[in-house]
Amino acid sequence: MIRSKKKKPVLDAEMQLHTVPYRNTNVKTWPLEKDPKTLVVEVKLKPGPLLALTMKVLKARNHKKYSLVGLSRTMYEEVDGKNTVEDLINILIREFKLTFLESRALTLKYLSDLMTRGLIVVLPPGEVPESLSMQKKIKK
Amino acid sequence: MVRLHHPKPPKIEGFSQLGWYHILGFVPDNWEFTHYGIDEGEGRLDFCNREWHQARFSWKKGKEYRKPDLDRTLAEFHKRYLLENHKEEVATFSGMSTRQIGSFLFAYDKPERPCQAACYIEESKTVMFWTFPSFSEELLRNTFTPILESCLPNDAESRVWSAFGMSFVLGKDFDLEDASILPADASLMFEHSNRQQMTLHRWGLPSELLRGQDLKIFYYRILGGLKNKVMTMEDSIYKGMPSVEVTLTRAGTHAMDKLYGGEWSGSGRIWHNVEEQRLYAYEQAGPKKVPPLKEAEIFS
Repeated sequence: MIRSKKKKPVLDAEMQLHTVPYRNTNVKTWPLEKDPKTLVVEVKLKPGPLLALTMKVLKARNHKKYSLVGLSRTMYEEVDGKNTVEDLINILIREFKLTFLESRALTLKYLSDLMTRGLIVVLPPGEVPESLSMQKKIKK
Repeated sequence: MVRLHHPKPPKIEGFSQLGWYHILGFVPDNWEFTHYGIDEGEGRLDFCNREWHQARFSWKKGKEYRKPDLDRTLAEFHKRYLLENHKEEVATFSGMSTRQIGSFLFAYDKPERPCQAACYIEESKTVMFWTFPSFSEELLRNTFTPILESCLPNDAESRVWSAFGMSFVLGKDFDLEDASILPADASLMFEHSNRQQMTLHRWGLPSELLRGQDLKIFYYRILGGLKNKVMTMEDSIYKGMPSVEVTLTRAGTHAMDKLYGGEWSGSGRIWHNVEEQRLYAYEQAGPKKVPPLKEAEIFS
């Protein structure tokens, strides 16, 4: 049987600016004791069944920690479910005197990195998640 | 006739300088490059802002280039556009309205249609085009006219380069060999016909780049990554800004061969423009017989 490939949703550049990033509410955050400027972010891993079994046998950790410092921390904290991607871009323009395209490229790359690590999810404007828990969102 | 000094177009409010191979002029402050060509013979520069594509500047140089019929060339370009987008109008198309703005012949058809301007530089046998995606009288008055009026041929013995936030003057014999343009991290690499090399950098987010390290350590790492051996580093003040002066050596080349090239010595400097929140740097190196460029002449 030939599976039909699901078409990826296409966002034009203007629409992209109005998308809203939301934090994964299952992520634990706390400032590092030794250095309070560093924010530690812990995300629970969701491995597939085979990998989960292997991890259980090997007693591997089922979570991953990231340290956010400086700009990466500021940007993560600005992801509050209200600020749009454009708002985040404008923060970089205002605070660091970057140009629009520089700021846009850096912000999108950073948000993409956070998404890959399961720390945030970016939704189109007007699409408010029923639960801010990313795991539930993915299960749907 | 070869001009010895580059022209100085008058500054326009809300516009910043553009200098690239054959052109020297001004473009709106918020226009940014989204494409650049590093070939002197032929290439293009694309400009975007928050509202996306704004203009394209292109050039073509030819040894045997006869003076082109600009009027006809512009009409031909527009005819091709009509063929692709408004076939029904091709049969009735009789030509474009033209007017001379500065050194450019500006041609337009209807509002909201693309318009173009062309100019031929006899001395360097180069034809230059500006293409704007949409025409309106307001855009013509506020944007196109200041750009076209400010544009002058950049064909003096010393050529002005003004792009990606950097502005400097280099001899006409320096060719742009390579460019690495990343967000808030731009580098332009030039090489002279006598193999003298010059690299210029501009970085944004200095507070992030210098977190946990000073200018010296940061620049030392950059130079190491570019295969330079740092000989001396000295803190100094450059135009009232904190800076670090360096002397360096790097592997030279003999023709294309690196084995017989020996070691070239060079110098460089990094400085922190606190007000702009940018770091700037340059390095130069070359064969022993080639005298180094003077800093005051590069950033005059």
